[in-house]
Amino acid sequence: MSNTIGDRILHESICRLTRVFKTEQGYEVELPQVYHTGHAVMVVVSPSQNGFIVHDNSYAAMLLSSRGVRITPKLAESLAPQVSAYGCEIEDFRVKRACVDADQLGFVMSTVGCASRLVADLLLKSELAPMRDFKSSVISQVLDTVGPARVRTNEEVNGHLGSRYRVSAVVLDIQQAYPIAFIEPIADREAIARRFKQFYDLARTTEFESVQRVAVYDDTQPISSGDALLMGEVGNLVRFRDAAVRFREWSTIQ
Amino acid sequence: MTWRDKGHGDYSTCDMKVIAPSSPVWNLRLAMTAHVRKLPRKCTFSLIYGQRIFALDVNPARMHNNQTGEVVDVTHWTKWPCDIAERDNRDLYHVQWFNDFLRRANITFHGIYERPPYLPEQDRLFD
Repeated sequence: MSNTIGDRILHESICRLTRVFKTEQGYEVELPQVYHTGHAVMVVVSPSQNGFIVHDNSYAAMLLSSRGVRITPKLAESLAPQVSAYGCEIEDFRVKRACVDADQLGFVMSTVGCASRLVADLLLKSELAPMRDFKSSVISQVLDTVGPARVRTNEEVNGHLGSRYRVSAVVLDIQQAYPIAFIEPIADREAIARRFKQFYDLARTTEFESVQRVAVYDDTQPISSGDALLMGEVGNLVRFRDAAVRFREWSTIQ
Repeated sequence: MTWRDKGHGDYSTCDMKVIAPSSPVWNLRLAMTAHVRKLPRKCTFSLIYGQRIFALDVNPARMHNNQTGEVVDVTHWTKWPCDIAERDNRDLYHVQWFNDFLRRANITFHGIYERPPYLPEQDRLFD
């Protein structure tokens, strides 16, 4: 094989990476670009009223989802300015750009491909998903400390106005006759509002007035002092590392 | 088993917790995605433990190994660290891929299978 290169060889070499397929959505074009996962970047060219729409068919977002990344509107918002730097926009996680003139299609496909790759590259910056399940860790801790006979998991209870809640762990008294504590994990900041509502409601339920409400948060996901104070108004907030000590109190309650 | 497409209309996702009986605190998940417009149907199955540790990509885009340049153009399986692809030339329905993935990953599924919510035009052309 000759190692001599020239403009024709280089041109052909890059062109071999480009393929075009006719599909029901229009034309799907494989660009001479790859995502960091190795997958070729593909864009779809569809006719529109004023010319063409070029988009990535949400392949970059699908790649993120397939690796366990949560797709949220907030994520789309944070990406919008970067995608816009390529002259594209992101709508429902589809990277797209309008094109009026067919002569511009090559350039537009390239920019959509670049912006799509930018979305997929989020994976390089995102942290690995937690290796342990926080809720299971909290429940295991309760079971180990108080003993399985006195713990009910995912128990349904009613709030004072009829709302229903599934309490992650309910600790019963020694005779296993009535509940003495409700325990809920707070794995991240998003859980605060839900837990606050639940504890606020249960605190106002006559039947559960004397039941302790304990929220256990993940030490590795610190919560703000404002959120901590808020949870403190409706229950007792405990760090996971202190949870065993807190739960041990119930092992001696008669 | 619930498919969701909120915020991303081109594809649906289904995420399920996987419990390892010997270590229930392990955060294992089965993440599935299915494109609802593209033909041939494109979908993925991933077992996630911190990152993808076992996966199946059905009808993916042409995939290159970024280090060696090797190309895989068909459905393929990968195991952690997911840099070597095992080709699979079969053409199966989603439920068949799903069952095969569970079998290979040694996962027992106790729910009711639901197929991805393919759009009508995709269904019409495929079936």
